[in-house]
Amino acid sequence: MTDMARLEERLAGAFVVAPDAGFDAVDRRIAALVASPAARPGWRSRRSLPFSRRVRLVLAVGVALLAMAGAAVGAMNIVDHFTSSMGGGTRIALDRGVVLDQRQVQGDYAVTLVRVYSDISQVILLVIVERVAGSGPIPGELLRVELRDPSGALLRPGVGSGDANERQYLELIAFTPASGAGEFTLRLGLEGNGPLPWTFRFSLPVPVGTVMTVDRSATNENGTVRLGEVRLSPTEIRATLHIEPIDRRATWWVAYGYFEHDGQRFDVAGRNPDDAAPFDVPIHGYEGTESASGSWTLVVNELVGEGTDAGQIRPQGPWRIPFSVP
Amino acid sequence: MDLATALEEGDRERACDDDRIEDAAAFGRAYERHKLPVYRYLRARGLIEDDALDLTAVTFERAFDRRRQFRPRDGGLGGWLFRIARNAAIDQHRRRRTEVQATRGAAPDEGIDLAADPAERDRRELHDAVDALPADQRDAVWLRYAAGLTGREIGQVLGKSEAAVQKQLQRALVTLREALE
Repeated sequence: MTDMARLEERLAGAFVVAPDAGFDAVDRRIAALVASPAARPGWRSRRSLPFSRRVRLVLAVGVALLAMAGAAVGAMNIVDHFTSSMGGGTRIALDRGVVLDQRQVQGDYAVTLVRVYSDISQVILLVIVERVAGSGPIPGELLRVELRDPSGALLRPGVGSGDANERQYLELIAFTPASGAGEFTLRLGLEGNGPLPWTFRFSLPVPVGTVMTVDRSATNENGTVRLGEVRLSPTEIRATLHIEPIDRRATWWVAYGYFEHDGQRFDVAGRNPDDAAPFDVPIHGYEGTESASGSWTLVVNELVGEGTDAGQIRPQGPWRIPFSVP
Repeated sequence: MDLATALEEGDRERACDDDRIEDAAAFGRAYERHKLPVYRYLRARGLIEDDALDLTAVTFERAFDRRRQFRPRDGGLGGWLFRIARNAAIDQHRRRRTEVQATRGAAPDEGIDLAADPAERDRRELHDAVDALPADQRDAVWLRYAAGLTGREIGQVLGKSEAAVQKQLQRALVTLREALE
């Protein structure tokens, strides 16, 4: 078991707590609530709350499933293990990415560029670091990266995620979208390992997807929401919002809502980055689309502002912004 | 019933419940599944037992009132419920800022000898280390390890992508490992 796995086990154990008094009082409140449907317009069922043996079976098999999953982890390779934990657009990117498996050894470490993917929303890389000599922990997330697209532009690394086993560390890194197709250059280094010693070159096709500027707004008594650029790709829906809440006391903001298109809903959420203006909120979904043409509507249900002094502010929508994609 | 069949039936039932929480029985089963994780999340946020129990009830009362707004996509029922729970906890903290007590199990003056109870000492150290994390990382750790949410569900609660949540958790783990060494 790795240090990280042991730490995660300790963390999971540290939060295991149950009320000394049990849940009886809460159970009664919730049972009373759901047992009084007449008081609630539109309530369809009049069945009381069944705390049945069947539910206990579900809980029991859930625990068994977790135990089985934990046992299976050791038998999977790190790419399979990581891929199986990802869903939505990230999973599509991993499944459709170009398999490179380019491996280079520098000093005590080997770096393998496993897979690359690009569309109009993002460029995604999957990299494995492996210790091939010496001992000690793998530097983990301390991987430093520099990716240039075919025009030579430096792409900004955004979010990433990772996985590790006893020998290897895997990192998925998402970058801002590339300008086009052609040869990319990736340089990598480990923290404290001097300049970036690993260099990989690879080609990617024209990024697919649709990008358009909407520049429309909606206003209600709680404020205004303006939709700027929208990017619709197979792996992700991204958009930029500028919000003007009436109550502006918060220092950072989250927007919650969804896009509607062709009978489908794409839930989106987003928070203004620490280095951006508080009222510029990038939003994103967890899934993308491959049929962008037609009518779309962005519905922002709620803005949530948080800040040290203001606590939490929740201007309510909906703000509905329709737009059309050719 | 063999285990595989039981697992399959359990998954089907959960997915079905998540789609139909407007139904009283499905809501009840969802309550049964989530009440302990919600309680643990609220305790992890520093609420004493009575307050955590009260806010667990408040969470499900609010969820019941808003059950028609729930859509079983993306973050799923877990993400939706814990967003309600988190908001309820923040509301209470704002209302009772001076009253909320930091409690992590029994306090030293309640008779637990930390020197003689290494498990409790370990737990306190972990809680203190988690409390020292940046706010976003701390929230992600609570949602992951106290509530048992997936990265995607946590993303739905915090308004972040799944990958961003994984990164936050990873950074938090690195910080915690160093702090606890």
